[in-house]
Amino acid sequence: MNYEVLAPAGELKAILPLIDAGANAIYVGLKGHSSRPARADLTLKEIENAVELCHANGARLHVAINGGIANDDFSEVKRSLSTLEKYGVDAVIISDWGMLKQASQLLNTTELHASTLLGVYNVETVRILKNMGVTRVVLSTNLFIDEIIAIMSGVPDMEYEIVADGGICYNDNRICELSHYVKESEYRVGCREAYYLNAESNTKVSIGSKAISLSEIIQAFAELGIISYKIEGRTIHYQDIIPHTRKLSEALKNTDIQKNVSALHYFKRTNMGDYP
Amino acid sequence: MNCYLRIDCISPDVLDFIKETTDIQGAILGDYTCNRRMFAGGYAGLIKNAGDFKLINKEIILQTPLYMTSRKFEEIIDGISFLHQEYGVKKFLVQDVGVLSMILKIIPDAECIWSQMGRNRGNVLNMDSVMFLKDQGLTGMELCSGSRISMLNACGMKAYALYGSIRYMTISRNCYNKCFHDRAICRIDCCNHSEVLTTETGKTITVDGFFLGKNYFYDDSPAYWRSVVDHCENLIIQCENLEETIYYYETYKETMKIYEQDFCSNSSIK
Repeated sequence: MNYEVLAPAGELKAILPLIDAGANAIYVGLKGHSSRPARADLTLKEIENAVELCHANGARLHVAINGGIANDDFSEVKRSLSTLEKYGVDAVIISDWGMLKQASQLLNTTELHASTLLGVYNVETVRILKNMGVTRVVLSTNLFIDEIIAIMSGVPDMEYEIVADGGICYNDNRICELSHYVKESEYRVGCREAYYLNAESNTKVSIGSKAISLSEIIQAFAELGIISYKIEGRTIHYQDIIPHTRKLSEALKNTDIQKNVSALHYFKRTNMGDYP
Repeated sequence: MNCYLRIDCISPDVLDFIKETTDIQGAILGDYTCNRRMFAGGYAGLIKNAGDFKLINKEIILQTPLYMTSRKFEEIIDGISFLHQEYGVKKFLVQDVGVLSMILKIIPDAECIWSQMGRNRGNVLNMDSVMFLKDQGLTGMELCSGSRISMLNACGMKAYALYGSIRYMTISRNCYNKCFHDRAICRIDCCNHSEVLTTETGKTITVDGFFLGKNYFYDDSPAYWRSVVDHCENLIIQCENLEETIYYYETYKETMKIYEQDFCSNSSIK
């Protein structure tokens, strides 16, 4: 297998059904320190159980620590990193440069993944991440395909992950304050609401991106060498995630990747992502 | 105090104001890929502005773009190199660690300042992140929080206090109204007509170029100004036009007088 279907779990009981549906890896959020509401996160104790469940069933467990980390929380999160490694967590997904640096010094066996929220847009940033010991970059959801190709051909000895299914941030990740503006403290994705363009207009427009599903075109990404295909939605009930997991898993099983021919070969040019 | 202006459009009257106001050090220019109000002619507009500032002997801090992908990377880096060689630009607001690294490769003595606009991709919330960026060669940060200004000083970085921080409701890579950000072709001129979106809950947000609404927040709290006076050598006043520029510049001068007098009277009591 040269790919991974990475499914989200907002609760422990989601893990086994998702693995049954074809997930090769599960990701969860560290309670209070992920980019989703705490109700969709797991405590350290729950993560310990999640690791056992995943490993006993041949899957990996990744832990997202991709929320903002204030000074006051920094030591606590740092301690959690060591605990997560002790539990056997396969990878941590980090979006804070300071924490990434600490993790690169602290962790020995747990892989370091650069979160999509870190905003990786060019080869130069990937090179810095590689030097820090990061083994996987979760590509920004608003990169165009030629930009993905430029990054991958610039640093080929890195794993790359994409958001392959679910809601993506059409806008620039995390800068958007719309959700809080529209619904105040309630966790809602503001850009997915419908709006009237002009007060007098009867036409509603959606300003957000529709949920995506790359299953039908997964072959293209597989040939590029994308290794991990993430399904978005830790706040979504796992029973709604299962069909997406199954569909993506089936699509990947049916890909016909020519082992010696990489799509990158066709796109690699000296003037793309290879600035001296 | 070094005072810089960041204005939506460097019109001739704004340029005159900067020229005539001796304690305004210079202005922030850019980002030319998205700020069509500032640079109607794109890069050519930036070069024109750079020439104007050189003529009036004022400093430029260049705001580097938000999306430094392969589509723009070489072009922007070449542009930075040219602006450095021809116009002596050596201060840059950056919002991307890769860009920071590349600028320092081509201009080793460049002063790179972490942009407030970069909060989406490296919202610096802790000292470890500050130290990481410092290790990468960053020399300063643009900040609008008083408490963070003093925190920054403690680790040897220059604070650029922002008076008038922009708050966007959202920012989009591709304008949802099909304005092509990357090619800077605005197919639907909605942004110039201040069109309004109304939510089902009755709230409205304005369409403003590539942004879904923005506003400027001016912190006039004593804590903010105390921090600026005590810990800052650089202030950036951010606003939309000349009228606002004059108003907020005068507010800043008046406020500084009060706090500096306060400082002097406290010193004499001691």
